[in-house]
Amino acid sequence: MACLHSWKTFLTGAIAVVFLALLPLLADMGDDTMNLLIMLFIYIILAESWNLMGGYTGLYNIGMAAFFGCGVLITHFVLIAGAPLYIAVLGGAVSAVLLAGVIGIPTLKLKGFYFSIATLALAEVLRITVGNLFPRTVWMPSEWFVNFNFIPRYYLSLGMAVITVLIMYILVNSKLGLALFAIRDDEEAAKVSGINVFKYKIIVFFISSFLTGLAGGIYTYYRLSFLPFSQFTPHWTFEPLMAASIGGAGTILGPVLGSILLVVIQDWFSLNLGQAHYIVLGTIFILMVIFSPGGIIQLVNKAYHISGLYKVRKKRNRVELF
Amino acid sequence: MILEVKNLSKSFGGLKAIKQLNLTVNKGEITGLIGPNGSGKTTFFNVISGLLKPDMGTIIFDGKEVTGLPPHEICRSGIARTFQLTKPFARMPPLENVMVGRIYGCNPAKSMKQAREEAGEILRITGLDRKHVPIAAALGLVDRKRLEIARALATKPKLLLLDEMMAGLNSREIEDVIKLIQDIKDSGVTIILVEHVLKAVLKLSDRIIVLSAGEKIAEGFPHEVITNKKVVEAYLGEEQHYA
Repeated sequence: MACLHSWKTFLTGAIAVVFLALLPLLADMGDDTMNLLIMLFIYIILAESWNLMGGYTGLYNIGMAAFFGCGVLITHFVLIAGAPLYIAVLGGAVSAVLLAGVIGIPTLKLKGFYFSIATLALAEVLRITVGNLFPRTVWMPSEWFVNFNFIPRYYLSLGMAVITVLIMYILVNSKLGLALFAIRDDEEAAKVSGINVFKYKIIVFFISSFLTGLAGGIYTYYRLSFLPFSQFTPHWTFEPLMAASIGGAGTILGPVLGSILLVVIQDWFSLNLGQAHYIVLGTIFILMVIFSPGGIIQLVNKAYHISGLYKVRKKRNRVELF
Repeated sequence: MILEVKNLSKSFGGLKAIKQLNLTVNKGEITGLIGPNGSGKTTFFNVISGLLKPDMGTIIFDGKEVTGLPPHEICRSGIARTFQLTKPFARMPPLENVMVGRIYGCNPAKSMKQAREEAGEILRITGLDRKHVPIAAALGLVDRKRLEIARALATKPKLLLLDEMMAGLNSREIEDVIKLIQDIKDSGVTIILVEHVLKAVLKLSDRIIVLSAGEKIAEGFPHEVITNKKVVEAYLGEEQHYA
């Protein structure tokens, strides 16, 4: 179990956010750093929304690409139609929620891994369908390219990433969070303790899909042009999944750490390995699953214990989240 | 009378786990439910608590019909249960295990803070307040059984279904659990006790119902039941006469 003092973590987090918010004002970071940071923020949103289901509720969504891609496409077409940005991004997120309803309502009543299979199938069906409907790259109007500026995209993605982490913090400390942990640990015991298991699964699936769709919307705004089906490839499912698991699923900070690692690895190896960075990432993932199932967070905590900095606090009776 | 079961039947494929069962449970009493393995005791609990839907029959609890309701609604109407194979929320601390019941059970706590306080009190009653473990998975068997009771009590039940609380405990621990169950009864909760440890059933029960192969074969006061010929036969087999 995690053991970092939560106020210290909060303070560190707040300093990091303030630093990131001031960064573009203080220095010209260059396009590469901007790209890197914006992708990091998008990955944080994705990893956290996977974590909300996979880490906290025990529902393994292996079709996140479907909801991400849905957010990307809908936002793109709403933007093209001339709607303001916030309407377009919200539209993308809401359409992801509708998609979640379509797949979630029939499958979340079933026990076992039907839900996982259904989400994976949904993502693949959409990948092929979208690939056939829109075989060519889609573009925003040309004036978007002329006036392209990183700054609003940077702040939008940073803001949404921070809001996502805050939402996660509020959720896992709420009554809803308690129900989610109970469902994860034992569904039958949760039922006879008065929890409407199906209702809370649907709620959490909607929240998670909303955040995923939101990430998709931000991605559209940032990318301007993309090949539609490529947003539905398993890449967009398994990178957030790995980021969350390597960092520490079932913790709030874990997916953030995992996303940082993921983006850094992608960047380091993109020049000499290209897509083969999956080999590196996959190896880390496998090693983590074997030696530290709790992810980086667990490693940090172990190191903390060994170094003797950890003091047993007797009144500690709640789940530590950091 | 707090629970009335009429003509209850449940089968799994061709196996009739419960056949046309009729029984009543009096308010404020401990009713012992005994019978050989496979006589339908746990199935009976699963049907009453809503985890299984009965094929036939009606269950009337506290004047209202609860037949076929989903488990969380049955819980909120005032029936709580424990599991023979304990089912703690393993990755949550014991306190939060109990808070789940306080927040989602009968007349739930208004806030997390209130739930935390009330859950702490329930841990104290069940003798778990001194166990400082980070997660429930770290508890030993007897404490897991206590946690089952604590979580069930946290839903503020009127009727508590206890499924083999004593199985696997040593005699000292059994004494403790007997005392705990007695205390729960004294606080006004009606209890149905499924148990194989006869000493405990006889000591605790006001009335005993005996099941065999899904049918009720006897009911009455503890000592008249265990001397009943049918009951002895169900447990030990029929007396053989050799010429």
